Amino acid sequence: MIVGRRGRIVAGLLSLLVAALVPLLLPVGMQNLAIGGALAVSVLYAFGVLSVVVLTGYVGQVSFCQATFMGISALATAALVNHGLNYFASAAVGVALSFALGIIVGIPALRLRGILLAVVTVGVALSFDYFFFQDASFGWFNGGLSGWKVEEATFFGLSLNNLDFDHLIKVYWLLLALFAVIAVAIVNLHDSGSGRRFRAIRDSEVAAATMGVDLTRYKLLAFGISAAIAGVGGAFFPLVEGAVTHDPFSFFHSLTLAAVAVLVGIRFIPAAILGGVFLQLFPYAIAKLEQGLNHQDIGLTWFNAVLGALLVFQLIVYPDGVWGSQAKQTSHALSKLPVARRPVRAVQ
Amino acid sequence: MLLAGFLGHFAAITVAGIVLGGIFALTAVGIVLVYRVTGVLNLAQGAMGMFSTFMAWAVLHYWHPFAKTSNLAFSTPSSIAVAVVVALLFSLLLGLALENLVFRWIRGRPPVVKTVVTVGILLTLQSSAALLFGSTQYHEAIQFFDSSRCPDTNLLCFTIVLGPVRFGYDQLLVVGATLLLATGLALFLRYARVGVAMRAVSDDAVAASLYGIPVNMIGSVSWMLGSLVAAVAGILLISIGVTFDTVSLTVLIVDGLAAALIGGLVSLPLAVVGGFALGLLETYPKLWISQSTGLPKVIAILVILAVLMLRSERSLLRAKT
Repeated sequence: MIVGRRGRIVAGLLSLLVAALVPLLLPVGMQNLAIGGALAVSVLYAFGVLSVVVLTGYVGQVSFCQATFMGISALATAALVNHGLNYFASAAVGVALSFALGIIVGIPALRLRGILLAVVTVGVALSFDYFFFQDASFGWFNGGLSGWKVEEATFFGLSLNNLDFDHLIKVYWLLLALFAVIAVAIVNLHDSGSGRRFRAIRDSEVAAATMGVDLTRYKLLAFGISAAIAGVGGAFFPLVEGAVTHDPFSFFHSLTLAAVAVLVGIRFIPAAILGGVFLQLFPYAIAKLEQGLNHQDIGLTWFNAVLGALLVFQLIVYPDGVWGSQAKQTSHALSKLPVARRPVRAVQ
Repeated sequence: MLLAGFLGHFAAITVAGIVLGGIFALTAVGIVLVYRVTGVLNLAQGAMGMFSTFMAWAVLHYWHPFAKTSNLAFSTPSSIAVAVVVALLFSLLLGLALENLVFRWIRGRPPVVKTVVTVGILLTLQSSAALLFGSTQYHEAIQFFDSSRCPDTNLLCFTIVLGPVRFGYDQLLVVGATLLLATGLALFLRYARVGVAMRAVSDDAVAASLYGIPVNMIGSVSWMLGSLVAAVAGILLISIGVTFDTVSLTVLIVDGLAAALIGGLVSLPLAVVGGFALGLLETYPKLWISQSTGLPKVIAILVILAVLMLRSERSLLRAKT
């Protein structure tokens, strides 16, 4: 590593600070509800992308059901808030539920790797989407067709009743701070003993097991942590939108999250926030460009169409991901410089 | 009397389950075929079928050959025939394009990477279909045996009645086409020169190329066949329904995967059997629960989990990767 852990954390926090300043720099004309909401939701999606980074980038487990983890937490939080529970406690329950679901999905992963695990997660995403999120018989959980409206609750003095630009920017800052805390924790985790075990599992499960890594424990832990991070993102959907439906947590959103994570760099935490912004602001911009069809869904559909094509192109042309290939080329170019050339260590 | 009523209900649901199972079996056959020969576990199988099916719909809706209006076209046999032929040709082109533009260039990469590529294709096909044909509204189904063409005296003209059981011609068509296609493909793989070459590539692509087998061409053929089967499955599925949309065909992938896993991802006959079994399993809860959007998908994932827990991983990944 060229830059140490502290350097990476400082750089990451600095970029988050820049992100925090964005709403203040917006021209007055753009300080509207839509932009504020888009900013705040982009942080929520950043949690989703971060959960993919942790699970796939660090531990090497494929998952196409991260939006499901977000959805469980979001719907549970909204349902509990609707029954008069405090928002903070509801969010905690939601995240705990996500964590538990992550552990459950992790159980098949103890036996399966690669494409078979991918098949299981696709099945989980689809069955949760169709059964728990959409089925009328789970109305007590998913709020029925119209979803949950949460307007009475407050969170740290932020009322969910008056959704204006100021409210959304406060929520945006709160979420950014939360994201910073979790991202630093994940960086620390990456460099800790557990993180080394995670990386060992990613590189070779057999080798890791031989070295005494408890595969069961660490794989389940990885799924739990990743699902909980996604769950944090989900738990704050009601705070941003004032309402929650099953829509943002569909099967296709899980695929989109995974695709965005692969595209922006599956092993880089800063890529997560970039991915979140990418995932939220580009559909918004496309929807703006599409005259007369000023609708978020159209933007997201265009975005997904382009995203899929970009993903295919990237995996053909840049096998290590765009960032990975660039980093490799840069280090290759640096090694050509006479100053940087290290003496070749003799074999044996 | 009560018993007879139940038996009739039971028989009707069994027929519906077998018909649905035929669709699953066809999807599974496409997945198995492509996976065996090229080593790509294709999550876009449903989406490919969906796009080709929409081509048939678009022909009827926008072009309506041999019919004055698009409404008439949906019940005119010659228009439907043109639409189906166009869709099948399109599916062949789609398979050819995917192999030559995408999968040729990632041969030898890890299987997971190939599967992520198919996710990209799924997203693109799904979203472009939603943009081209509309995602929110439902589309009218293409019914081969529209009861509006029956004479007024006999509204059941496209139905065979056997005691309490009724077989619609469209249902028979699904089951017949499934069995015919699956058997045809199995015979093709066993006896045709190209089929034997496909099996050779599936066993060892390098050795096959040393024997002068054009591996790229074999890849194209298997993707074209896979795409064709997907299109047939999609068209048959909408022919037994009333309306359809872009999502309902794309998510066939989970049922197809479950059936393909029953066949260990390599066996065509077992995949067909698995498809029919899954169709029945997903339909029988309707005996007790009238309407549930999610229960079939839950049954599919339970079947996937059961198969994955019961079979050893090695036996499942026996095919070339």
